[in-house]
Amino acid sequence: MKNPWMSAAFSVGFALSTFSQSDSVSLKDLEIPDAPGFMLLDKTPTTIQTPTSSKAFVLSALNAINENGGIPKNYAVDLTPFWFFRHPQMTAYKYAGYDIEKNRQLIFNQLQKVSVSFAYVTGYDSLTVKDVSNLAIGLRANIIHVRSQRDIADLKAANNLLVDQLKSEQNRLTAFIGDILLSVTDPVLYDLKVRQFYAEEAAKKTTQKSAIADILKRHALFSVDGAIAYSGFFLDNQFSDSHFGRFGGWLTMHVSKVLDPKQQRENYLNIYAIGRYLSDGTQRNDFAPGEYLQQNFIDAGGKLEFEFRQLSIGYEYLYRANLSNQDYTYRSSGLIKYRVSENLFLTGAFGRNFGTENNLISLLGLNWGLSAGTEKAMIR
Amino acid sequence: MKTTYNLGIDANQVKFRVTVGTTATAYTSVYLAKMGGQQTKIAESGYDSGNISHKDLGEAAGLRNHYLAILTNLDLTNIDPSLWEGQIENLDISYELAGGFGGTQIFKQDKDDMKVLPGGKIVVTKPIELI
Repeated sequence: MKNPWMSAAFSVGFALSTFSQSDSVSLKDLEIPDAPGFMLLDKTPTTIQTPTSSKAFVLSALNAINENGGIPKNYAVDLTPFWFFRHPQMTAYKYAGYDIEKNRQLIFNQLQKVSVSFAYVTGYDSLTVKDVSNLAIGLRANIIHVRSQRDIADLKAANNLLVDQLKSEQNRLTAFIGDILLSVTDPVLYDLKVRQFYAEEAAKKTTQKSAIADILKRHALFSVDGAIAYSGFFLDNQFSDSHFGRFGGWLTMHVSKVLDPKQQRENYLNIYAIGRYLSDGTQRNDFAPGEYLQQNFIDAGGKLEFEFRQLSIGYEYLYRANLSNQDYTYRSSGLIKYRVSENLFLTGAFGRNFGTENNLISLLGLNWGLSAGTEKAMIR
Repeated sequence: MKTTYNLGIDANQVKFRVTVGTTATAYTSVYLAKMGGQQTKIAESGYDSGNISHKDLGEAAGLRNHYLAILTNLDLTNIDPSLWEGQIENLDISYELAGGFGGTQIFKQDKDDMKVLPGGKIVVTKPIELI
């Protein structure tokens, strides 16, 4: 599946990933990028494939090869291998991160859903005046996920309700069909009867929507997310002329407390702590023409956020160390975000940006369709 | 697709197990049925999963020329609809029979056993003839 919105999100979200002190700021900069492999590239892939099954992945790769008459010059894919394979011992409870037999949470369960982002993008390098082929790969995972006891109780209740519904549905189905061995004696009629039964059930609206998906989307009580990514590039299509590009690592801890006294699960106090490392080998070395300089950065900081139904207000502080030249700076800013509709956000920020010059953050903007965590608005 | 299991001599004690490997919420029931005769629900899954742990079916003599009809209803709405297609492809149901002439045999669901229905619902019907 091609995802132009995702491509757009990454293109606007890239500016800060290079740690440059540009005139724009990503509003959810503290969060780990959805596809860290893409964040390390200077040139954003034009389309990003996000296949959700092995069949879709093979088809997207074949289409890309077919359209380009060989290896595509601009190809990016973001996938979660978990969805590509059979899991013979999987159950709905295990998927939710709960061992119902031992009555305990499987807090590392989400690790199996690690996502992989890969990109191959060709272009022109103005520094060396040569064609350049960029290659990047990244991994991202939710390492620890702890749900509240209340959420676990809600999950069990919603599961039991759905199982009861399925049982009742199956009993009505067998009564409707009459002879269960119709599947042996007349498979075509059996198929017709099953479909007729479900068409009538849908018309009667006999079953209610399960709450499980909404419960699983609730903020974790405590979670740890991590990501790593690496990029390299080749000049003039020569394998021997390969160079290190960038390496990045992200680690975020998130504590979330429900504020809603009615337990509607829409108001939260969120506290984030983040650490990240970037090694950048793509900058020109002014003292050695044609060579690249390597710089290493470390960021550490946190964010406090009140999240209400449509509005979130937060403050973030981020300390940055350039390990190569022992330069230290920080960013301190307040953030506000209002969801006008499902895909339309009004966002604003005010504060101090990194560096000592031109470091006022003052922005207000509308964003739409980009709820992937890389929203950005220009400074006014 | 119809499958057969050879029970062997009359005194054999036959056992049965179902394992439903899926992220979806599932419910399974097993019927013992005779063509043109009685159809009895002999086992069902609980709230934990769509699995049925080892169930004694009894002696082969009382099972011969019957069918086991295993019905599994699944609901995929706990995951995003964009993932449903992949989960339908990767559904893994094992029907294990033991104690008969063929020893332990594991059957899987076939494509024509599955009815994929709107709204993230699936019905899987597996008939196994006991001979």
